[in-house]
Amino acid sequence: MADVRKKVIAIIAEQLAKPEDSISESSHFVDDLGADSLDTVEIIMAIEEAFSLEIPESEQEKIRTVGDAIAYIEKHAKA
Amino acid sequence: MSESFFNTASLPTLQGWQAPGSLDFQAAFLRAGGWALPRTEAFPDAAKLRERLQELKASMREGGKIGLDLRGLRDSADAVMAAAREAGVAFLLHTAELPPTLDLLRQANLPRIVAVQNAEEAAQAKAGGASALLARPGLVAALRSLGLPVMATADTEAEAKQAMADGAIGLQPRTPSLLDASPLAAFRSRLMAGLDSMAQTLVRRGACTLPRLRIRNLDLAYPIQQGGMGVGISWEGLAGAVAHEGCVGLVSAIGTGYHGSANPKMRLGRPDGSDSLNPPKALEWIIREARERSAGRGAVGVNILCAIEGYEAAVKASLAGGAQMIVSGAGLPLGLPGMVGDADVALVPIVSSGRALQVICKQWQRKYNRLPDAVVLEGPESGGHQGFSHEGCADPAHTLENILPEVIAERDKWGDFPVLVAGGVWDHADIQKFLALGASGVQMGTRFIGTFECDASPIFKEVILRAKAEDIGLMKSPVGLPARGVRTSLQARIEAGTAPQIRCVSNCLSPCGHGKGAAAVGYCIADRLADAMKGDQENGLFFTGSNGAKLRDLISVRDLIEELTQDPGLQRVYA
Ligand SMILES: Cc1cc2nc3c(=O)[nH]c(=O)nc-3n(C[C@H](O)[C@H](O)[C@H](O)COP(=O)(O)O)c2cc1C
Ligand code: SF4
Repeated sequence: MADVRKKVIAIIAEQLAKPEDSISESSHFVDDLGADSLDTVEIIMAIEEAFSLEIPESEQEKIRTVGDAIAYIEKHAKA
Repeated sequence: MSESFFNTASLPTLQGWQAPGSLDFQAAFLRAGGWALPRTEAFPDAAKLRERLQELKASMREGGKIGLDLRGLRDSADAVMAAAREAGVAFLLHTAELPPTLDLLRQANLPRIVAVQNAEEAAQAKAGGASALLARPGLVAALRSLGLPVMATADTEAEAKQAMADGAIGLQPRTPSLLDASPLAAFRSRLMAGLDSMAQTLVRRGACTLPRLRIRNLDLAYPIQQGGMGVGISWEGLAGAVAHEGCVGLVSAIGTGYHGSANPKMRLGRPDGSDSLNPPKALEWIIREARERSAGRGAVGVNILCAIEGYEAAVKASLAGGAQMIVSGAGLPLGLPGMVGDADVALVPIVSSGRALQVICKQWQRKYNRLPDAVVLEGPESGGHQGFSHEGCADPAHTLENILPEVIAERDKWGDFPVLVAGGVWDHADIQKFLALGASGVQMGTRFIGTFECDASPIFKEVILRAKAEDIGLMKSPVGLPARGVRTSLQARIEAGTAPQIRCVSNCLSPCGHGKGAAAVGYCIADRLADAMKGDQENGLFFTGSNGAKLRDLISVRDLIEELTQDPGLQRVYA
């Protein structure tokens, strides 16, 4: 579990070029981390790749914070 | 006056195409006894036109006449007519739509040849005092009954012969290769004798220096694509005509419920819901008709905004109608390849940055093992919605010239599909400039509004033709992106809160959120764009690129493509 959290934060930190300790589970991609719409798409794509997932478009729209992403992965990732 | 004018020893032969470097060519045309026809449109002002006319006058020989094609009149008509008088211009040519300066032209007391498209225009021209008519060969027989001399424009030998048999008193060959046809052979030898050897090769083979354009398995004669323009600005009329001249014509997929072939469910005078606004059957019909009109030349594609409600249905309808290309922007068409499956259709995203292209390529490659067949890069001078914020549009770092290198660099990482640039491309020199910077072609929108074939109402075109630079600017749109258009009284009414009510009957675009976005900016984009297309000046929203300020006159798509390509007579397509 902590593993997922760490990996997700690392992905987002790299994507947005921000230090990992500035990112927490409650961080909103756009409002807190200053992501634009392309960043958000790229974050989702990077997560799909890292966790071998396919996130349907309707679900993608709901992932707006770091916590949303972690929750989705924990629910859907192949163990 | 006119009978004897047209009654000449040799067949009156009108210059029918604009050869590059056309002074030599026009002079030779005159020396051969032809009727040279400089176009006012080719000259920035009356002084430049006067210079050219004077040079031509010096080349005048027995039988030759200098005419003046008034289409695209830019400087004051007074100044142009004064230049014409001095140079001994012998006749005028203009379109049937009576120029506002008709009185002035009458006073000049010169024979006027009026180019007409049908019998109605011909009758109107006669009532306006025309001396002769110029028409397509198929019309000659019918128009003769009006009692005016009729000349015919011809593309092929068969057309030239038919026109002569039907009683045409002169011809306008529209491509140099037609000079080989029998009614014109004598003229041709006189013409060739008057051309230096360089000019002769130019007439024989054409001098078009533009590369062809390959997109997937489509082979286009010219690297020009007419951008999709909604609502209802580019449908079968425009897209079909552009494809017919060897380029790419794009049909717009949005608002097809307003098309004549649709019969949507209406509420409060608007198509009710997105299924009625964008009925797939109407889109299918439009694409099929555009392909029919293209006569197998060029390519017909479709522009589908990523944000429209019913995106996938529009994609399916496009395939059913035979679209050869799907162009999609205002968002990332990430799922598009999955919707077309293995259909043989070119997929072309529109982007405004290298990053957007990267995201699309990554996703398409990974999920569908496919790359774009071409990409359109839209810069901040384009018409309609922009890929930048308000401030971003004005940022000098975002000019088309400046963002092109990063997109080419990104493309190079993935493959060698063509990059087309859009936004502010005006003429042949612009096309050459962007090709030199590494683009493979251009997409143009605004200039195509200034054509007879454009599907918008005449009033829509008028609004754009009349707009000056200070009238054109960015405005907010319900989808959250800035959009460029003409500021009309509508903007003042939006600010004053007296604009038409927002009711979201059509539910057009998902980012608007059923009217939330519209409420924020004070208008519904679906209703306002539809009103513009129909010619409602008061309630319409008129999109245009910055180039709308330069647009002055309506011309035919064929004339426009000839000008843009500098291929005399479009020989690559017709010869
Ligand atoms: C009236 C109008 C409507 C347009 N509608 C659309 C559209 O529905 N979808 C789209 O992708 N681009 C649209 N565009 C953009 C054009 O396709 C084109 O890329 C752009 O206008 C190019 O710039 P130019 O007008 O300076 O040539 C529109 C442009 C105009 C002027
Ligand atoms: S209110 Fe918004 S979604 Fe509804 S029709 Fe108008 S622009 Fe489209």
